[in-house]
Order: sequence, then structure tokens, then C-alpha cells
Amino acid sequence: MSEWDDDELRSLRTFFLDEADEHLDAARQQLAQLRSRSGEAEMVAALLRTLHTIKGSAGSVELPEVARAAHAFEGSLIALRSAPTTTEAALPSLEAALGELRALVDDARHALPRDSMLRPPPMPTPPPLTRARDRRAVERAAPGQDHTVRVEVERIDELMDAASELVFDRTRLQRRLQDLDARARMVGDAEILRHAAALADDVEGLRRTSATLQDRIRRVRRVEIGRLFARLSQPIRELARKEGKEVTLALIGEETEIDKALVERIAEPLLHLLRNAVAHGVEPPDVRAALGKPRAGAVTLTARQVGDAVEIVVSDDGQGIDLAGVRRALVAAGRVDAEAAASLDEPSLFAALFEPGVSTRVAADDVAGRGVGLDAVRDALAQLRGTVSVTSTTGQGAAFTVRLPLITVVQEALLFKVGGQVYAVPAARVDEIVDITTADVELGEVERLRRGTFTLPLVRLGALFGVPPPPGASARRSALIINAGDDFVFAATCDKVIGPREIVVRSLGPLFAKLPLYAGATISGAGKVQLILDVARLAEVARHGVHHDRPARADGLPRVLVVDDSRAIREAALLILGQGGYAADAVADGWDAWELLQDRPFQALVTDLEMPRLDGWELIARVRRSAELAALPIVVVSSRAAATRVRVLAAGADAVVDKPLRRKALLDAVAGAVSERARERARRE
Amino acid sequence: MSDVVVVDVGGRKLAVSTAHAREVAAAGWVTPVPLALPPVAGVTQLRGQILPVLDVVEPPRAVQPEDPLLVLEYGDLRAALVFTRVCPPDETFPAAEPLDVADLFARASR
Repeated sequence: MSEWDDDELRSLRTFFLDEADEHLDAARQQLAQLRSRSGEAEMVAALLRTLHTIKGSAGSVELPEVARAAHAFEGSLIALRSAPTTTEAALPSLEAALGELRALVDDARHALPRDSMLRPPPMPTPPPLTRARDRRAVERAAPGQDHTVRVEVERIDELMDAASELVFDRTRLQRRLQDLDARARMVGDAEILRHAAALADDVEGLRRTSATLQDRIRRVRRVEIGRLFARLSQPIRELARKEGKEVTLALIGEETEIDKALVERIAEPLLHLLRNAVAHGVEPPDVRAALGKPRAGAVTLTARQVGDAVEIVVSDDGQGIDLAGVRRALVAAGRVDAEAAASLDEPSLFAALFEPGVSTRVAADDVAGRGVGLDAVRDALAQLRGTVSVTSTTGQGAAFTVRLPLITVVQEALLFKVGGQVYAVPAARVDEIVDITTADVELGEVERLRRGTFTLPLVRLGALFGVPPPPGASARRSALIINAGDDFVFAATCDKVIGPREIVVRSLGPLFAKLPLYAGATISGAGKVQLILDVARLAEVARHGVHHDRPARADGLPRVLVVDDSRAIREAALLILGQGGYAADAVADGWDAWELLQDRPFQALVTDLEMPRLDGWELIARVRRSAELAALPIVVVSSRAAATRVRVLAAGADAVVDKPLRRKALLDAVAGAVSERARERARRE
Repeated sequence: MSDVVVVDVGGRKLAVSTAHAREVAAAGWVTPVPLALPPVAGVTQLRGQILPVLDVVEPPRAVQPEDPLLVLEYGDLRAALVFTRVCPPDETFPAAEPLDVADLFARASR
């Protein structure tokens, strides 16, 4: 009997087939290197790892023929290591085995249903090619053939960097052109002036071409958001069934493109909002019928591009936000007294929903143990420089709007100085630059800047950065009036405004991922790094004062970290754990897992053994050596569970589960490991 | 100890595996990163690539443009360690302590 229903299996097989092509290409290159005899032992080991991954993943998505072929191929390689046969003599049979494996993967791809939302219809395999002319003929004869090429994201980033360097080249050209023009005017040489004018036209043409190039390369990084929407459908249907509600889920704007790097990271925040809509928005069928509404609630997920951002709306036609409940929660949390709560307007109440502790209390009135966690949603989106807001009409429904910036590499920025260092913010976000004195500042819980008849929250960047004003600084300061979107405007003081510049945005890299105050960096003409501030993060500081990063909380659910270099296995584990009542995160290798374990609390770790960078053995050893993590329940998932069980348990794991993944086996192992560690803790105390 | 490069870091001798040591470069202008915790000393650029600068000496020192940096790699992570001088192989006293590069990067990314 299958572990999965049809939708789940289709979705998981799609993930497997996506990564299978990459693994098969890697295997082909590894075989080619064996033929050239360079690094024979390492290539055999690398090829074994590749086949091992294909075998485990194929088994988990119930493609036994593919798994068997990979297993047989593995066996041939293992026999080769110990047999007297030379590698060269064995190569033809190894290449035939690879060909058979590829054919089986292609068969599996063609067997995916034609109405799958995630893949184009399968095309017939073209006949073998013998001459270049034949190849061109085949391409012309099959116009619908899929001409896609798989490219690593890093290669696209390299292309983008190279295209962005054109901005520097163009700036240098323009400067030289201005010099040339000035000198030509001084000597009055009409011929040179004509050439300079023609050059100026060429430089303008270069600007248009480089802008087009950057735009085209940016689009290569994007994928349709429909793939993510399809993944979110099944958990929502499942939740509706559990809640005893009838829900129709409409998906609009699936063709909207979003940067590939964002897709994985917005999945959980969107799932939170959808769960919210089903659990707390949509009424039970009988209640809806009594209200004259259709028995089935309508939940809609809409995506569209708006300017330089993607806007995703999660809306429902349910009961709307319980404003009285928000007022009660604010009073109970000690934020305001009852009188002040009664006078709060709707926008203030909607904004309060994203405060820590408020939404949880509101939701707890409805579904015990199912805290909404909207503050966690806001925090997760802020890490992506995104925002979330809500509108609602009592009795008619609510709509949560998520805005995410499309990643741009070259942008107009405003440069300014704080404490002797130059910083940048996107120029489009700066409404105004003003001079202020202490007389313009109202003191209170949060400082506010007087602007005519109203006031704005004020952020003192020098104080935020912990740097004193420069020597001789006067009482008069410059302030940037910054628009953070959603009509939230605030002021930020600096020492001196330098002015607008076109900058190339560079990533600060993964080591600074935990400093969301910085959106990136740029390099000045003098070779100095200048930090770019994240406006959304500054807005949070303006709203609440200094905001210390907290670990993201699941909405009351125990959190599990899944580590496996196979995407199909990760997706399968996420599905199983989600259905088992866990909130799960997934990463592809031990290094990312180790970083994430430092950052937020997990109740259990589920890990593969063979992974790049930091493998499962090293990850387990580090966890057990760490004072904070030593008691973390660890479940190992391995396709060699029986053979490695003793060693794995001796290394510090609590349980070992076989691949392919089985729902009951994984859930029992995780629950068992958690219980056993809890008993151990109780015994010690 | 073989396949290491030994550097003097504020009086401490650290042995860095050559599997992780890439090159020595001048620090250039190191931009401070407000709110970053030690061992992060700031950020610089090397041939147009942004490079975090790490200093294991406490309290952190102001890094001068001419100070040498040892560029480290761990997987796809790169950063540069501020040091004073490279110790010659025959300088065996005091003994060098091995630098756990993975741990250094993990502390830098907190």
C-alpha cells in the first residue's frame, strides 16, 4: 500500500525527477573521469555516493525499478573495487548501466500525469543523432520539445556580477567622456566635439544594453510561484478535514515569477497564514449555512508583481478578525489599559496582531494549543526584507498581504555618513531629507520627530550603531524621512548626507545572515566597502525600539530539523512530520544544520549520514559535545540502517530508520526518541 | 604537525590546516559592521569580493590597511583572519594550538 496519496506522490516524484537529472549528469562526468584515469579511487567513491542518493530517493518516491537499477549499478562498482578487473575493462558495462538508469528515470518522467500542474506534458524521445544536420532537423521537427537547460544558481549569480560590472565600466567611460568634452570645448575643436557627442550616444546605448542584460539574467533566476502554491494545497485540505470544515482553495496568479532563493523561505510563513484562515477565519459549515453563506468557505491565494515587489494575498470569506478579542488580548498582555484599548482604531488593532503574545492569546480562545504565531510570520518575512499586513471586515473575511522585494543588483541609493562610515539606503525609499534640532524631537517611550501638525517615529542611527557623533558635531542633524511601505513613514538621523549614487548591490555572504539590519554592501570607487541598510528592519526599530532577534517559534508545535542532501527525501520527511503534528525545517547538509541548531530551539533532529560539507557522523558528534544541544533527540535515516545501526547508536543517535521513508516508522522513531530523552531528563532531576 | 601554516595572532600561535588556508592578503580598508559580535572585526573586499574579517584577539583591535589577513575557506564560506606574522617552521616554541576553522566560522555567524 502506498505511503502517499496521488497528489503527494506526484509532487514528491516531481522533486525527485528534478534532482535526478543533476545526479545523472554528475554520474556521467564521474564515469568520464574514470575513463581518463584521473583520481580513480575518489571518482569511484563519488559515483557510489551519487548512486546511493538516487537509490534512497527513488525508493522513497516509490519508483522501485529506478531504485533497483541504482542498486545494481552500485553493486557493480563495489565489485570493481575488489575484483582484479581493470576499470578500463569494466567501463562499457558501467556506461550501459548508467544508460539503463537514465532510461528508467525518463520513463518515470513520462509517466507523470499530463494534467500535473508542475510539469509540462511529456514529449517523445527523439531518435539517436548521427550528424549535426540531423540534429538540427530533429529540433525543427519537434517544435514543442522542451529546450530547457539546468544551470546552477551560482553560475547565474556570476553572470549577474559580470553584467553589473558594466555599471562601473559605464561610469568610468562617462567620466572620461566628460573630461574629453571639457577639453574639446577649451581648445574649440569642433571635430573632437562631434566625436565626443557620438561617443556619448554609444555610452547611452551601452547603458540600455546593460540594463536589458541585467533584467534578462534576473529573470533567469525566477521560477513560477505556482509550484509553491501546489505544495501548500494538500496540508490545507488536510487541516480542513481535521477541523471539520469545508474549504475551497483558489490559486490565482500561479504564473507570477519569484526569485528561486525566496521560494523555499516563504513556504512556511504562507502555510501559517493559510492555516490561520482555515482554523480561525472560516466558520464551520452549519454556522456558515445559518449565516446565509455557502457551506464551504473560500480561501484564496493570489500572487502578482507590483512594481519591484511580489505581492501575495491570503484571503478568506470567514468571520474576519475578532477586534474585541484583540483589544482583550492587548489589555491582558499589559500593553494598554481598557480605556485606551477601547479607543484604538482598526489600523492600530490590525498592526497589534503581529505583536508577540497578542495573536497567540486571541487564537487560544478559539483553538487551544494552536497559537497563530503571526509575529513569527512577520519576523520570517522581515528576514527576506518582506512585510505583511492585514485588512478585515467583520463577518465577511480577512486578507493578509505579503510583499517581497524582487532581488535587484543595481539600484539607485542615497549615501550618508554615521560615525565616520558611509552607509546606503534605496533612494526610492527616501521621501525627504531634513535638518532637525533637539527642539524638533518629542521625548517619550519612543522618540518622535515633529513634522508640522504630526509626528514620526525617530531612529538615531548613531545610537543604534553604538557610535558617538563626530567631533565638533553641532546640535543640528540631518534626518532622512523614509517610507517603509504600507504607509509607515519614519525618520532616521545621520551625521551627513552625501547624495544619490547608482550602486552595485553585493551580498554580505552567509556569515552575516543573522544581521538582518544589512541588506547587502557595495564597493566605492576607492575600494571601500559600504553597508546597505535594510529599510524594513529599520522600520521595526522605529516601531518598537531596538529589536533583538529571537528564535522563530512554531505555532505551538514541536519543531524538528530534517537534514538530507536529497530534496525528495527532505520533502517526504516534511510531509510526514507535518501530518504527524510537527513543525519541521529542512536543510541540505550538516553545516547548515549546525548553524540552524545554534539559532533556534528544536525538539528533535532527523539526519542522513552521507552529506557534503559536514556529514551526519560529524553533526551527531558536534551535537553530543555541545553543552546546549547534548540532550537533543537524534534519529538517523539511512538506506543501510541494518548494517550501520550499532555504529550509529554508539555514535550518539537515539534511533535509526530505514530508507525509503515509511510514515509510521519515522513518526514512531521521532516520538520514541523524544520520550526517551524526556524520561532521562526526569530521572536526572 | 604537517600541512599547516602557523601564524602569530597577538602573541598566540595558531596552526591552520592548509586545507582551509587560501592566501595572504593586505587588509585594505576594513569597514566596521555595527552590532556584529566578536570574532567579527568588520568587512573588507578582495578583488571585488566582499570578505568578512575575523579577529580572535580580545578585546578587538583596530585593523590597519597594511595588516596581513589569512584568507580561510570552509566549504563555500570565506573569511579572513587578522594575524601579525607567519611563524617559520623551525620556531617550535611556544607550541601552536590548532585553529578549529569550522568553530571559528560558526561563532562568526551567530
